[in-house]
Amino acid sequence: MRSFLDRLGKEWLFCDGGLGSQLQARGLGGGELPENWNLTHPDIIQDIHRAYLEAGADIIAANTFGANPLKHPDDLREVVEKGVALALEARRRTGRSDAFIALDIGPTGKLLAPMGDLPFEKAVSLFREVILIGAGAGADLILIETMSDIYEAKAAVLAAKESCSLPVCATVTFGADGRLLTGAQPETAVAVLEGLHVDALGVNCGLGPVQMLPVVKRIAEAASVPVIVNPNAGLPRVENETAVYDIGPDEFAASMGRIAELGVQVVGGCCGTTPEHIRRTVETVRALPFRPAVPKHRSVVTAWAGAVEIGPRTLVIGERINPTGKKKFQKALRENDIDYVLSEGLSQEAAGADILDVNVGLPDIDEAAVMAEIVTKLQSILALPLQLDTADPAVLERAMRLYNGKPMINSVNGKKESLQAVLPLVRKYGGVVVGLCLDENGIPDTADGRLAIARRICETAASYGIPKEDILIDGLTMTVSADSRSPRVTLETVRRAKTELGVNTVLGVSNVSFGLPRRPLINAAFLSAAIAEGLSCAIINPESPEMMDAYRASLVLNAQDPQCMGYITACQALLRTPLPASLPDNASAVPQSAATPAAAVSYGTPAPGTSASVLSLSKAIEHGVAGRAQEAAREDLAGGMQPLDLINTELIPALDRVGKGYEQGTLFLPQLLMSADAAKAAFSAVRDSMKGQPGESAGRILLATVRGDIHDIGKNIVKVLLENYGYEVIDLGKDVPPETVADTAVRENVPLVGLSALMTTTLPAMEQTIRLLHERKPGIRVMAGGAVMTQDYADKAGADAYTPDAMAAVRYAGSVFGRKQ
Amino acid sequence: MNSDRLLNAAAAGPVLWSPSQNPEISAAETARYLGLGSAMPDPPVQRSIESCIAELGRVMEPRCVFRLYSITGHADTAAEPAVKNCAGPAGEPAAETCVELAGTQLRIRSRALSANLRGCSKILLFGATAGPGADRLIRRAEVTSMARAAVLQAAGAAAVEAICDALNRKVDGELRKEGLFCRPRFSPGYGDFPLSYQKDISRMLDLPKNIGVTLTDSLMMLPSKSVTAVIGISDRSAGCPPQGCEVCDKHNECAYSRTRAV
Repeated sequence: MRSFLDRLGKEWLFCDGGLGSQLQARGLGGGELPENWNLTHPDIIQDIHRAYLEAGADIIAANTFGANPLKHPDDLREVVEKGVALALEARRRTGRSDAFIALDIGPTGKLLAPMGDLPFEKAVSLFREVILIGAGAGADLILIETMSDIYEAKAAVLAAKESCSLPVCATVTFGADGRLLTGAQPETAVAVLEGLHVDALGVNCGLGPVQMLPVVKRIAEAASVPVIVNPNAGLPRVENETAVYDIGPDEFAASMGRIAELGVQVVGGCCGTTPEHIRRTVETVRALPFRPAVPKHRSVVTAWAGAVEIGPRTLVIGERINPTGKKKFQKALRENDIDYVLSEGLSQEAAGADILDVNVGLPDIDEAAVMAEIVTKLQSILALPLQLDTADPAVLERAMRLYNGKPMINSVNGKKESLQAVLPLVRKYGGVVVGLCLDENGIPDTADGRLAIARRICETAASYGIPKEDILIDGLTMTVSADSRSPRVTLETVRRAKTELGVNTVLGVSNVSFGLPRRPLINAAFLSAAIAEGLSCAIINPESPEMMDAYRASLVLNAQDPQCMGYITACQALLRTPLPASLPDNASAVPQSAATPAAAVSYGTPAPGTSASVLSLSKAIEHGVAGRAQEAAREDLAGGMQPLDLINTELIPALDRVGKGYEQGTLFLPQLLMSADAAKAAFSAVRDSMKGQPGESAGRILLATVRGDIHDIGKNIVKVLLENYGYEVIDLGKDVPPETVADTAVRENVPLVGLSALMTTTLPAMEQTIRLLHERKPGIRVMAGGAVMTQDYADKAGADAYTPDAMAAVRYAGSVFGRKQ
Repeated sequence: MNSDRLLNAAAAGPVLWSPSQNPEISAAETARYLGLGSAMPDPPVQRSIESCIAELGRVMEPRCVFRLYSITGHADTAAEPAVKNCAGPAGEPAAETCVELAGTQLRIRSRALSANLRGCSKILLFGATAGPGADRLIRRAEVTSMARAAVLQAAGAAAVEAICDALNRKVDGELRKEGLFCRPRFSPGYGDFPLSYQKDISRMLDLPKNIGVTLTDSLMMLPSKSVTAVIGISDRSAGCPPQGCEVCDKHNECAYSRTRAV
């Protein structure tokens, strides 16, 4: 008998049709778990499998779609083993020994972190449990299907690859808009799944065969591995009290014929399809000529939504998320000021970066943990692909596992140690890896020497099964002031890597000008020359106007900007930038608010009869004009005002006036927060002026959202206000276990903890956390707030204070720390 | 889908529906969720509300799923057909008012819901969401400006209500053609309708698969700008049906209520 992989992609193979809808037609109740029928109605399950086998299906999915430890905490093994056994038995009884039994894996029904509450590794372990049982029970392959989140699909594929050696197929479910529910486009799904080395991929459920055509076309055009298509039989309607689907077997089979001709290798059905649908489809499609999948040789990186193809146009990789030579960035990393790093990401996105490099390497931090946190958080707020930049393979592996998409990796080099450490990771998780032209002997000073290393990197990668399109050669930019020939060597390497090796290229540009005056001028000229030589990706600072000017002009001159539209659009945007003179340009005055174009809007307005540029610091804060507040603070400091005086005589009194207005009901939350934003901007000017000297802290406060609550905007509002008042806030984030809160409170010796709960279901966690805090650290004060909190609940939970809003928290903190406010 | 098939299909299984264009997000509702009550926002706040509504309008992806159920026990008696006294499990009050859904094992134990459904023969169970983009937008704003994050948060709440209103109008129009009428929508968490029914509703509508809405262990919906609710269907008009706050017995203690006595 030929194995599944012997036949996959070499001849037509047919999946079975709907199972759940067949069970419903036989009386499965709404809300009943279909897998339970393996135990209660084994004959019916087997009959359905037999009918599909007799109809010509080659791949039978066992009744294990919803079998996971969350839905079957007590009987998982029984349900899965029995499900596989029933399919095996059906195969035996029909004499279809050529057919294959798939362990069917559906989604968990939970949303993965960071958008949801199921941690990625937990998802992997849930899938692993099912797969170990199913593989042990004798399944021939793993069929992961109906995934509407590419991240969850990744978790399932990884689990399969790590716990068995069976072939793995994965199909995802698109909406009518051609995207997964969590946003991934077909090209993204293909890149991620191929990066993880599935044996076949495709689409199932969600749509009928006709609606599915456009998505199937895109998948077939992108995929290099065999494609599976299993549509629904249209939509259900009620006839004689039962649900019927509106596309009959003949119509379905005709549509599947058209789908098969798009370059698909495996077809079958999903919800509503019956053995008759499959029989007719087998007859129709068998008569068509079979075409195997062909490699597409596309170089693609993705985030969770869109895919970016490397090659057609030179891409900008933003270099700003990197602590090298940046004191402020280093400080932010050491103090776990994640928002600072995130705002660097947002501002580069706004400046036009295609991809963001992420490097958090500092000797005295836990690089793996920080890298994981920053990658995850960046992916929760922006959609650009990331370049994971680290010298430590352990850091790289953790980041590659957690990455939602197919990342770029920076980097491997020609040293044996590097090749052996990095390439297996690229092979396992997928990615496009930067290959540096250096090895044990250093950096060759000729293009020939560098190309020899590049060739070796490509060949070694090929031996791991990594194709050339997943490599980017870095020709290495050297300092021209040290060797005037070096840029020519670099540029020659770029050109020949493309023409002789057929690989894409990348350069970090800025190094070329080191030690010279007017560095941006040299950098821009070098960038233009490299683009003219065919550079695929430039690692630059996208916030530098000189660099982006040179970049856009070079695209025009190298036929990469059709009709010059990109250039013209950028010029028009530039012309629109200046704001009226009477209004401060927040975008330039406050780096953080330049991050999103929309967020750069000035919230506040000057008081009637004044213009913003003459507002005093306190007035700017009261009116919530962030740009002016920062500027005014700088002016005051430049005029000789002491930072502490500025805080105590201007900043805090202004905040107090706004706070009082809020408490009296004349001002509302948005105004309070606009002032808080303005005060924050002024504080950053004050901090800059103090040049790293420790500021005076009003006291340390621990904040957390209790376990089970993953919504934390309220807590974050409290944090901003407390920081405005000079408190040092240790923010544990959301969904924090009581033990973590208590441990941290003890370790950091904080006198005050603020806890937030949003849901009635998490009030017990609030109570538990407060009890533990009081036990572990007698005398500690706890203030409780959040949407569901009331004075009664707070009293019942043992809180020392009920703080209904952010100002109440500020007042209570004042009373605890003995400050007059 | 043809309108005459919409309700028919909803009786067979979950039906997906999205408004043909994004519903308009109300600035007044956004202000209310911001805690402004009926106060007029000052010009900067007004501008922020408008710009947040515009930005949210670009990223929101309304999706709804609904399903029609008969309520068992409803024969021809019009008085209190679907509402029965059923014995609670040991430890709970012996007799409590509850609603049973035909063809399922679901019994919803809630006096408030039962009162809401008095005179109804069917219910429409639905889930609606503004999509994951709204959550992402709020997180983005939190990095740069809490003021903007708070306004987006409020606009997101107003957005999902607007989506529910659009679905409500659609369903109401379909039902009227058949001489049927909608009752106000009623969500788990309103009055004594326990949040724990979110699990049943999620399973019956297959919320994760159909509209991408999942539940956390603490029964919070994600994406967070999502709503589940029950709409009673009756052959008698209940007059102008009140919506949302007016039918919730917590409206006097809720900071965001439209109807709180100040």
